[in-house]
Amino acid sequence: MAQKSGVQVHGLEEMQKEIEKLVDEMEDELQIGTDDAANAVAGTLRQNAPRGPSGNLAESITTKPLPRRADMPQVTMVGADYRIAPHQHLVEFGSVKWQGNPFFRRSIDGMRGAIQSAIKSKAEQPVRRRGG
Amino acid sequence: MSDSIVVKLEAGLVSMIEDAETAAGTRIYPDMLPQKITYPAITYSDISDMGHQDIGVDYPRYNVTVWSKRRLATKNLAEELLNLLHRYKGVLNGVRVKSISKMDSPGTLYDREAGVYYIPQDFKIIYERVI
Repeated sequence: MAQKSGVQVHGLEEMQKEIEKLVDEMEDELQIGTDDAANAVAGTLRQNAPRGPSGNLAESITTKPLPRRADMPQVTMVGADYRIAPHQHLVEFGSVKWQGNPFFRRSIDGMRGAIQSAIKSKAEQPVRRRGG
Repeated sequence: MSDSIVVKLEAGLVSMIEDAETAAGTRIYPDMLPQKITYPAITYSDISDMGHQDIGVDYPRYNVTVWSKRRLATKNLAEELLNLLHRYKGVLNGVRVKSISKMDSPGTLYDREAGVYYIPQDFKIIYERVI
């Protein structure tokens, strides 16, 4: 005679809700981490920007978070505001008469590891809060 | 005293571009253009010095900029360089290059005062630190 057996799993719905909550929290933390990293990069860029008589280049460095989209990673842009420093590209890339001062690319390259660590650390926080 | 590996790498890079017989010929200069210049021409410079501490591999960012009085000629020369350098793997002047890859670049720029177009292109050159 065949024997019947079965397994009942309790708490599936709760687990699904918890995972959704975790993902939401991770997205929030990622946004904070991305903004923090962008502000840190902007600070370094302001420090490293060559100083002219006006100081406009350092002053022009700004950050702007892009609107969040479900199909895109969080993005916060860091750059020079061309209304304040329209000559930024001439400083960075040079011209026929003078050599460029690639302070922007040097700063980004130098901070690459720190940026990744800052964002990763924030993204891990929701898991850590749950004992992970 | 023998040349450092970076000096060898740069010399190898210049030879490679010269051998490709681009429109710039042998007008390839470090850092900036000389005062009296015939176009088109190419400049190159090291931007940042990146490398692994635990393994003997460096991956600096190099800039190679093409300069010309004509917009189309500038674009063509930039594309020639891109085809030559991007995805290159081999030995340059004794330096083992694992790969060269293009990084983000700003596109075509124009120096109004001199009437010259220029296209800066950055490349990450991954090479073995030991010859």
